Amino acid sequence: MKTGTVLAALCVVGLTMPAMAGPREDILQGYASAAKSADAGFTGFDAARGKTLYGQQNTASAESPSCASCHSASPLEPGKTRAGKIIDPMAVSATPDRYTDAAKVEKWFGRNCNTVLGRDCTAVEKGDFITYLSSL
Amino acid sequence: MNVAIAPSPQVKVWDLPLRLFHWCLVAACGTALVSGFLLNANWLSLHIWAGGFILALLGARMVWGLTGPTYARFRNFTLAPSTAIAHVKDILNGTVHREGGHNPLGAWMVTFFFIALTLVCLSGLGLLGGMFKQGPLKAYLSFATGGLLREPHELLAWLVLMLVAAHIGGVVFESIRSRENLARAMVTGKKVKGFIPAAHDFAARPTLALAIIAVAGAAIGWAAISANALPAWGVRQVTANSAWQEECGDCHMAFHPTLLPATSWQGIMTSLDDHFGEDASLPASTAAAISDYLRANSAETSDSLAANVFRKMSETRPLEITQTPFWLRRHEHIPEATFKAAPVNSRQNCAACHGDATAGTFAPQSISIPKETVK
Repeated sequence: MKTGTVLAALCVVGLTMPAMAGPREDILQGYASAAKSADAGFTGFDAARGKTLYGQQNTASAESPSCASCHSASPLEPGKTRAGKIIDPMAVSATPDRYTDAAKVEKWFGRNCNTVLGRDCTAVEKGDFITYLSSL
Repeated sequence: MNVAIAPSPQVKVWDLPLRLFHWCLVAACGTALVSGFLLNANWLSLHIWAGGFILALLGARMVWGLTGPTYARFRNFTLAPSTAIAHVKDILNGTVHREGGHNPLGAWMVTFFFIALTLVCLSGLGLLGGMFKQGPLKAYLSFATGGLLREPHELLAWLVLMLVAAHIGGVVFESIRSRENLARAMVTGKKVKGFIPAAHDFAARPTLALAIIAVAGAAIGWAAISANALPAWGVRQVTANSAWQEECGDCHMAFHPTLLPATSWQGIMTSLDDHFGEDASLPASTAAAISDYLRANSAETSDSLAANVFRKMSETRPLEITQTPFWLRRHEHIPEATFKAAPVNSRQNCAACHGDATAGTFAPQSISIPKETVK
């Protein structure tokens, strides 16, 4: 009887706090706040927009025109740097510790957005990207 | 001349150890010459073993020349110039004297062989130690000193090749002239009776010979193994730096700091925002720590093979190891497809083929191009 009560309580807690469950959610929360302060009309991240961003061809770099050029067309597959080093898959389902270290996430958005897009990514783009790769 | 072929009475001239020495030397010299002149650097181990075996054979033959039976003894090698001149005169006027051992020109031949082979092996050992930082001389010779021995080693090898040709020519010539197959005599050990016997008779002393070879062999072997265990001349152990390992190793193997001169490292570390087309920027403090590490252990601080050969940079692309004249020369025979295919994936992935790349060693023996894998 006691166990049943505890389980029931846990279920209630689990259902009411889905947005504050761990470092990845914290990171997304941070991007969401930044997005909202930049644009009051921000309503939330979108996996479909993230998917487009991941696969689109850009013109800033001939060697690295797309995220997919190094990270492989399917985020579930390992990618490969231009120097030949294997990169773990980008999808959270394939690489569970993805997007859990804020400094690392910022470091790589900083470098790779600049290389591939020729500019910084917006908070919305970063959030969409992580949302997409968490959804696979 | 055309009477029945009665088996001619034969007498033993060349003893078994001597014949074994001769044919082992043929095999070892053949291996060393083929691996040195014709095969690529992957065969260096075989070449080194052949050279070591030649040295051991020469050493054993030296002992046998002082302890062996009559025709093995150096005492019976007639090296007096007057004898050699008399022998040449005999050849010119068609006089045939069959010798039990080496004829006077043959004795000179063997002596030249001894000297040339000793020098070619020692020069090889020297360049192996200095340039490749391997073997018993690696602790004593710099890359530059080893490099000085490179041409002499090759010239001596050519000399050996010429001596081989002269030796075979001489054997064929003398076999025809004296109507006795001298090559077969080196197999069976026997010559037809009626030759000029050696000046001095000796009984073999095999136990003494074995004792000397065992003691000297053990002493030389111990000295060589001990010397081989010493640290190589001018090559310090470089301890890995965690920032270097992690940050550089994120996208490619962390290239050993001794592979580039300090100016190239500086060029790389000050242009990380455009690192061969990629933004690889680092926080200033991390970049500074890695720069310090690379500069403190740059190519100038090491006398290793790799540090020496990659020190000469491309004039137009001075930041790239894969653009150095040495790198290009050594990889020109490797097809583009091999670099592109997994598991190599790129020219920057040294460790895919060089088993000791992360340590910055790059010994020729550690090269093994992996088979293409299908992903």
